[in-house]
Amino acid sequence: MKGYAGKYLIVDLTRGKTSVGRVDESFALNYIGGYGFGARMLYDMMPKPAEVDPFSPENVLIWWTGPLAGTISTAGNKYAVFAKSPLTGIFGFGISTGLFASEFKSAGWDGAVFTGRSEKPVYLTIDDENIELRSASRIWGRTTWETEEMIKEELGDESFTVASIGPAGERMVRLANITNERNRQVGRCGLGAVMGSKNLKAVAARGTKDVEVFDVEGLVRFIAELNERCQGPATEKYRVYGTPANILVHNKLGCLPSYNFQRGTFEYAEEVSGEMMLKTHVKKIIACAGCPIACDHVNQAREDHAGTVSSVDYESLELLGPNCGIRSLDTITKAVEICDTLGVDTISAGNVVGWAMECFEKGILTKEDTDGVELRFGSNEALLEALRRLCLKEGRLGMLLSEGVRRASQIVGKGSERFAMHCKGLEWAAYELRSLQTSTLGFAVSNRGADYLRSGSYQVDVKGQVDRLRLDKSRGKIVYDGENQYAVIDSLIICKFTRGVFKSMDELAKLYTLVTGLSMTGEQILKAGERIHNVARCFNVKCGVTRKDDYPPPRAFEDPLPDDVVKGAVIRREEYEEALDGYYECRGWSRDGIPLKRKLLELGLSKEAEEVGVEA
Amino acid sequence: MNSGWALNEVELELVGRFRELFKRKSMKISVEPGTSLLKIIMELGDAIGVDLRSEFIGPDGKPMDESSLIIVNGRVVDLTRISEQIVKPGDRIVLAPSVAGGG
Ligand code: SF4
Repeated sequence: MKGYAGKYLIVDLTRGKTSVGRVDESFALNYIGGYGFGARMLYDMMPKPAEVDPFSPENVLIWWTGPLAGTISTAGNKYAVFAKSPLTGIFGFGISTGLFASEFKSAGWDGAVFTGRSEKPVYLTIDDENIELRSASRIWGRTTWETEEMIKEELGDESFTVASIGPAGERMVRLANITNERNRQVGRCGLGAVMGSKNLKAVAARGTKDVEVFDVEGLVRFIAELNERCQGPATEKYRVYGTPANILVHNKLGCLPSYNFQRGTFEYAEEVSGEMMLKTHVKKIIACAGCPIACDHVNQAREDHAGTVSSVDYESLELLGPNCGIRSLDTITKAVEICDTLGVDTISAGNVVGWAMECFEKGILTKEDTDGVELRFGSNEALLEALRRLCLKEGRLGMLLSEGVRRASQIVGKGSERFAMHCKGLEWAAYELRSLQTSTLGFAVSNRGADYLRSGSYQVDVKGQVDRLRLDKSRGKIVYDGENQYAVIDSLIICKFTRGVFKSMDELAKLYTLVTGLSMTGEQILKAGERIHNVARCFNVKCGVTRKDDYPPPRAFEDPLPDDVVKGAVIRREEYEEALDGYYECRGWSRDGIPLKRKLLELGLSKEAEEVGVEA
Repeated sequence: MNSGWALNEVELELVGRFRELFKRKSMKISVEPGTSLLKIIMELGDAIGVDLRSEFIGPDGKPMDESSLIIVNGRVVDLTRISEQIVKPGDRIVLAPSVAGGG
């Protein structure tokens, strides 16, 4: 089988020893790569996840590329990281992009598994077959950007790519991410904190081997066609304005969260729009390795924070902007820089700071709780100070925010749990809940928690294909279909922004076969997607997840939106229950959200059927 | 009808590439009673020399996966009904690119 390196690295951090595991054909066909490999392996390596403290040496940290990494495949240079999440306590997973994945694969490895905990800070170098754990004492405490430079300097070779954690990961901030190539992140679920708990500062990879593909000519022809489609209308929005184009569109639709999701529009939306950003702040537009789209808009701050440069996408812009009442692109550019260098997820950070601002304005948090910070919506200084303290776990405020919004609201209490915007402990991303209700169902049932990347179910809402202000049973099928497709995309792993250029699942299967030589149809690959999703759910069921965890936060049901365009929009509980029932029915799960034995057996998951599955 | 509106006027708001095409953020346009959304789109396109219909409707006469959006009074228009939807004075029509992102 081609495409795959056929092996992965096993690193026992406690003993400082490495060994090699094999990727065989049946593992490849059943689980594809990326998400699939991670779900399978996390399930197998952690038989009793409910008993594992995410910060203990018993947690397992797993890295996988997909079969396309290192090949010429369009936008396929991605890697994924998995562990039990310290933020959510369930299946933790994140994907990053850039050169790191292709270097890793070109070194001859599909993935790496880290167990145990190193006594002292270390980083791992992968230089083809030469694997080494090196002391990280010199770089411990450094930002992600400094770490990258220092490691390259220490190794005396610029061609190494580095994925690292910043001070936030070292201090086990539950929102900590993993950064490669300065502005690409495994953002969500606090996986950087798991690295920190293992005293693993970074992984540096360099590869000199070609990744062999099965049908070179066929692949070249197909990729040329896909790359041409990438220049068409399906991706124009990403190329010109990037994802920040969403700001004004969402504002017109009343689905732009502002002031900690109290509203669905922002009165200063024009000032932080993609249109304004392109005119005043975008310094350059760059692409990930092997991507003809180039969507990454790199900003340079102007007056305030002049010289600050950071990559600002819609999610970061929205959560650190309107959701905190911020209308300054300079401040948002600086806020992203703080998060990227110190190493936290911008989405979760913007969400938890927005929550704290609402607490402060309602008198639930006082200046005593915030160590003197006037944590008001719209205050540029307060946002930047809160972020810095969060990343460094500094003072009472920093300690509180570093726990993430679910834990922070449980600590503070006083009704603040009601407007802590999360699901399963993962902070809600920048899509309003009441004015995009199919999307809300998709977020809430996701395996990671409130996840905007697992089903694409917002699309039927924003395209007017359904009544986005209501729910019904049929939405379950929309989410189910989307999740299975996205599980394939995240296992191959390709960029979701290219999804519009593939005409069908058959084309994804064709790409897989051209690269690997393993025959696969659209139907089979979709089945693999369903299998993968179920394995991750079974892991979560073992962690205690049931129907009770598949709901949006109370605000979605209790606080009607005040904005003109969507006035009064709220989720009706009975409609939500019906939609959730519809989803479970499609999935073949019980009314309590547990996979049925017969569904698991149909997917070839006999171990899960025995351990987790229930009778109808 | 909203007060302050001239008879038969609707407000057109433009987002993303539509701002570039029209070189403005918004404009008021007069419409005859009973005019469909499709007719307005065609006329606007003619006025700026652009095939505006193709932003919303593919060559096969159906909406495309990545069709741009038309939002009327906060509601996304089902593009399969664009020729039947009648525009009323005082309507606020937004032309916007489709939403980009993970979603
Ligand atoms: S579309 Fe953007 S995020 Fe996706 S691979 Fe290309 S540059 Fe990277």
